[in-house]
This record gives sequence, C-alpha cells and structure tokens, in this order.
Amino acid sequence: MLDPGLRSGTTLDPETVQTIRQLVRPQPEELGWQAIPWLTSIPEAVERATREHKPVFLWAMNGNPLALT
Amino acid sequence: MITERFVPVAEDVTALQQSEDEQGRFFRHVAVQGHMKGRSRPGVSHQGLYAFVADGTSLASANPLDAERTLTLLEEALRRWAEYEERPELARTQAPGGLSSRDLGYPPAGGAVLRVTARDLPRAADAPIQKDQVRYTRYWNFDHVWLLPEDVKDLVPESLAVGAERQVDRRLLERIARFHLRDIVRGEPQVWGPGSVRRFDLVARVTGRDGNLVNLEITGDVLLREHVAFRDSHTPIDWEFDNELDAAIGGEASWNEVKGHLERFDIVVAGQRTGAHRYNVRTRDPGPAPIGFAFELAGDEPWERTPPHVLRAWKRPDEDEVPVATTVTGEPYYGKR
Repeated sequence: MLDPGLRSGTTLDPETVQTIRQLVRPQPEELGWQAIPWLTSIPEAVERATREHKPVFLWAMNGNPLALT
Repeated sequence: MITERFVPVAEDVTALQQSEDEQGRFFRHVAVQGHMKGRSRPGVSHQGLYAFVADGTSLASANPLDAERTLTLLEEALRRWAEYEERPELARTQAPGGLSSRDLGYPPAGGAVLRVTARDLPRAADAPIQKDQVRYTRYWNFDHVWLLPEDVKDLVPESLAVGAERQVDRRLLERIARFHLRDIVRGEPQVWGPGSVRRFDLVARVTGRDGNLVNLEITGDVLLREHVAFRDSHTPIDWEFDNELDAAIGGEASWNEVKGHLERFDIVVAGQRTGAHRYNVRTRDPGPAPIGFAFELAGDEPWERTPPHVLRAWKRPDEDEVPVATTVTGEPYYGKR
C-alpha cells in the first residue's frame, strides 16, 4: 500500500519504486493508438496518400498527439 | 480501419493553426472546410480529427472525445471518399507544392532520450475530490527528455568503484525540474519559472557490476515552488495559486562502461503536487494530492522520437553559430553551454 502522503524526505525503497512505476506507466489497454503506424508530418502523409491513393487521416492536437497533449 | 483505409498522421496543431508557411496555409485550407468553418483564427485551437484528400479537399472533420463519434467521422469520410473517386474530374494527381516538413530537430547524437510518464497516484481514502473531477483520475500523459552526451555522463560517478557517488550537476537538474517535472497529467502547464527550483538533490551511487554494466542507485529530493496568476481558459475568473511539487526520487540505472551509454534508466519521482495552470485542468482540483512521474529510456518508435513538449524552435542567432534549441519561453533548452 503506497503512502498517499509521500513527499521529499521519504525513502523510496526498491519495492516502493516498483509499485509507483506500475501505477504510473500506461497499461496495455491504454496504448491501442500505438498500433497505428502514425506518420509525423503532413507533407509526408500527403505524398504517401497520393502514391497509395488513400485519404489522409490527421490527428491534430495542441501539443503532439503522440506525446504530451 | 485507420491503418488500412487511410494514411494516418499526427501533428502538433499549435504551429499549424497560425503559421504563414505553406504547411500552415494548407492545413487551414482543410480545416475551414470542416468544423473550423468561420472559427479559424490564430489564437483559436484547431484541435481535432481531419480526413482529407491529398489535394486538400476535406472529407470529414470534428473534435470528438469518444470512440463512437470518431467511428462515425471515419465512416463519413470513407463515404465521401467513395463519391470523390466516382468523380475523377475532382481528383488532382499532384499534392500541393511547397509543403515541407516542420521538424524541430532530432534527439542529440550520442545522448539519450528519456520518456517521462505522469499520473495521479492514489489519494487517501478520506481525501476530498469533487464529483466532476473523478473522471480525470485515470488520466496520464507523457513527454520526452533529450539528454546531450555530457548530460548522460553527468549521471554517472567518475569512479566506477562500488560505493562511488556523484551529485548530479545543478544545470541538468534545473532543466529536468523546470521543463519536465510539470503537472502534465491533464494538459499543458507552463514551465516552472526561473527561481522556482528551491531544492533538487540527485545522487547516483555505484551499487555493483555485471560484466561491462555498472549498476547505479539513484536517490534524491525535489522541491519546486512558485506563485502563479492567470485568467481561466473558459470563464472570466482570475486565479492565483502557490504551485508546488514536493517529491522524493528513487530508482536504478545501468551504465555500459565499454559502449559509454545507458542501458537502463528507471527512476520515479513521487510526492505532492499543489496548484494549477491555465491549461492543465487543475483549477477545481488543486491539491495537495499525490502525483508520480516515471522516467525510462525511450525506444525508436515514432511516438518516442517526438521532441520535448517545451522545445518549440531552433534559434539561429547568427548563420555562423550552431542552432540553439529554444523552449516555448524562448530560453535555450539545454541552458547556457
């Protein structure tokens, strides 16, 4: 059980570090979007869409949608 | 469906919605045909999903927050794409010219890229939380830290004998603290201001060896504090907060002394966060409440190569000088070198 009051001065032993890592890191069901082969620039997408004769699907967010948004 | 029927691309819309280069104009040409019609101005967020033809013809767009509406958008786009294909006179064979990539740079050669994930940690059973804030407790977010070769070496004790220690240099800690220990769980906070790093101690200690690998224990503490005042992003409310992060640090790393690089870097920063920023959706849940950050080495997938969120430009003060990576505040990302 993680101490909800932890702050500076708290010793984080290896077991606690592991518990925190497991709580913070994303679970597999939260990473479904990573199965999509995202390109990272519109010019590259437009060029490929022309070549492969497909429409472009753009995910545009303030901050990079593939990271901090 | 996205993978097979579309060419998927993800971009930060902040520059696209306001830049006057060809890429910005092309994006806005697409956007105003869809849900940004009549609303496209430089200060207005153009966030959303856009399906379009390579020549810039919009097929569908919206800013949905759920899977069902996203699926509806995709189906509408494919329906219009089929109509588009039936009318070949509408199709251009060439993409618009003048588009060029907007790369902000690449991870520094010989350095390292760390992925930092942030998420709320479990609160005390009796800790108050407003009902409309509960849905946010599952939110998480991540960013990247770019380390120069000298930054990486600064994490490793000069002596690799068991028991040897190194206090990590303040220059590196300031960068990590101000630019990467931000409460990003729900959105985009400002960077911590100059002078906000009240304390940051980080010690790497050699605990053992395994062939060429030197195992390190990393421990420390961090205290960040600053007063902020801002206008609410949605309502005419002026907020003031004494923002704070008061946290402990622990974890392990492995240094390959032959190859001269990190093979593992697993540390956590965990403690109490207090306060809010205009764009991090914390005004109704300012804490203090527990938060955790997990740092680890990033891989080579596209989503692990995006620049640090604060890195917005490469400034070339003089053509003869090496470009300087600058943050959203105009500061050099790597500090004064």
